Amino acid sequence: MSESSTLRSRVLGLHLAFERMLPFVTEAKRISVNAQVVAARLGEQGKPYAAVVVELGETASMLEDLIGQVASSFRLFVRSVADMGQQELRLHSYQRTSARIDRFPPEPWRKPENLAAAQSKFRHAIRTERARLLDSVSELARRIRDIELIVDEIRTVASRRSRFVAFVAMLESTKVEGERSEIETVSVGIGDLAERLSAASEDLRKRVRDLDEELDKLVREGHNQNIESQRGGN
Amino acid sequence: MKRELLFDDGDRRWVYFGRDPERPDTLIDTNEYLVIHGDKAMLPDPGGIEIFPQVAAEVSGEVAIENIEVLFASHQDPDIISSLFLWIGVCPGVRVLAPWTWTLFIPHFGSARPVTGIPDEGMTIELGKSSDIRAIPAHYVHASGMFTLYDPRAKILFSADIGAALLPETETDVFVKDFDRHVGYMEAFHRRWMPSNRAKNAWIDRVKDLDIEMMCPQHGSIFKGKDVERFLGWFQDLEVGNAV
Ligand SMILES: [Fe+2]
Ligand SMILES: [Fe+2]
Repeated sequence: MSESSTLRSRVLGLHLAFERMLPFVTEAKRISVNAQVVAARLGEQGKPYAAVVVELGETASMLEDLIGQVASSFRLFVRSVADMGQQELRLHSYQRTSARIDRFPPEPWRKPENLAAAQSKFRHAIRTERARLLDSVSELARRIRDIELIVDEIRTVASRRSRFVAFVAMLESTKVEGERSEIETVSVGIGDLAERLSAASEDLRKRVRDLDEELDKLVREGHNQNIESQRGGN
Repeated sequence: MKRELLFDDGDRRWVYFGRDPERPDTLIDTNEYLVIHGDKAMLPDPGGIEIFPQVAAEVSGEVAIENIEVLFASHQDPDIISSLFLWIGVCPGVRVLAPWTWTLFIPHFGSARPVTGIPDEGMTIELGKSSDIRAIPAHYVHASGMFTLYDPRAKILFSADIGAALLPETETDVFVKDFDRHVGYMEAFHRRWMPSNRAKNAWIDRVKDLDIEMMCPQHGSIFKGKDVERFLGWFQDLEVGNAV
């Protein structure tokens, strides 16, 4: 379980994938403001378009909220990973100490009773650290599942809601004379944003899934190692 | 690791460990000392994370690990005390002493546990039933808050980075054998790492009248007998702070 370099690289990958989501919030807001401007300019004629504008505004703030939620969950997640780094370091150091004591040739100054007491102390410390590490990994697994749920919501926003809004915008635009091209620009923008957001959130989801799997693997290994160490090994 | 018993009068013991052959050469070599009084022990400058297993294993042969009462940090460098959280994991009740200037810095090595600050003027350190070991100010030699230790019973001066030498792998002696040659291994270090002539001379004034049999630095060989005096004379004449 102490081999979490894969975990760390996956966390980094997830972090990068998440950072790619951030500009979508600004973009969604910009499109929403543009739509408002266009609707206002249309006046009476823009009435049928008003529902789309409201939808767009809601979508943008929903996206902002969801991405904010991922950000704060992810911050906690990364902190737990950092804490785990110290637990791992402790575990490794105590394992190395214990192995070293095992290898000691007898010397007149080395008191066997001290060595035996130290050995049991380090073995106990190893078991404690392993249990702590397992708790931390299980905690991470819980957190990543929370993140997964939020990412799923983002995907829904991206794939259904935004596409729907884009479609409605396009539909409404056909009824309006004059400002049609501007409405079209807005709706193409939404469609395009939805497309890219969909791809990015899909990528994010895949990474969250991979991380989830990795954590499950670590939890399983951790349980096995705990069982083994309770049988007396290191 | 090499091991050398420096002093033993039945109650008080000083043990040296160092020159670990398994130490990666990306790390500066450090000397470790274990001071035992009765059945209680102190580790002056217990060392960095990387060498914890070696040090902890060696210490385990000498003393019951839970009897380590004091971890003394002469200053805040990583080679001095970055192993703190590892020691605390196995000696939860240990007292951690460090210059007051660093008490809020040292826990950044990873221990949310208070460090007791040594006041600028120094203090005596209780170890087991004894209270004769003194922390002697060595501020700015090299860290802005720094202490050396003097044990009047063992006549040992633990000098932290003062007297440090960067030895080639071929020099494996625990004690300085040829002082003049040894100067070659410590001159650059002292010129560069020691910032102030005034501070350096103030420290020399504090220790020069002490009865010292051995001066034990945190890096390099130990000075014994006449070499202690030779070192203090050499250090007095040395111009330090050469990077400006
Ligand atoms: Fe230092
Ligand atoms: Fe040092």
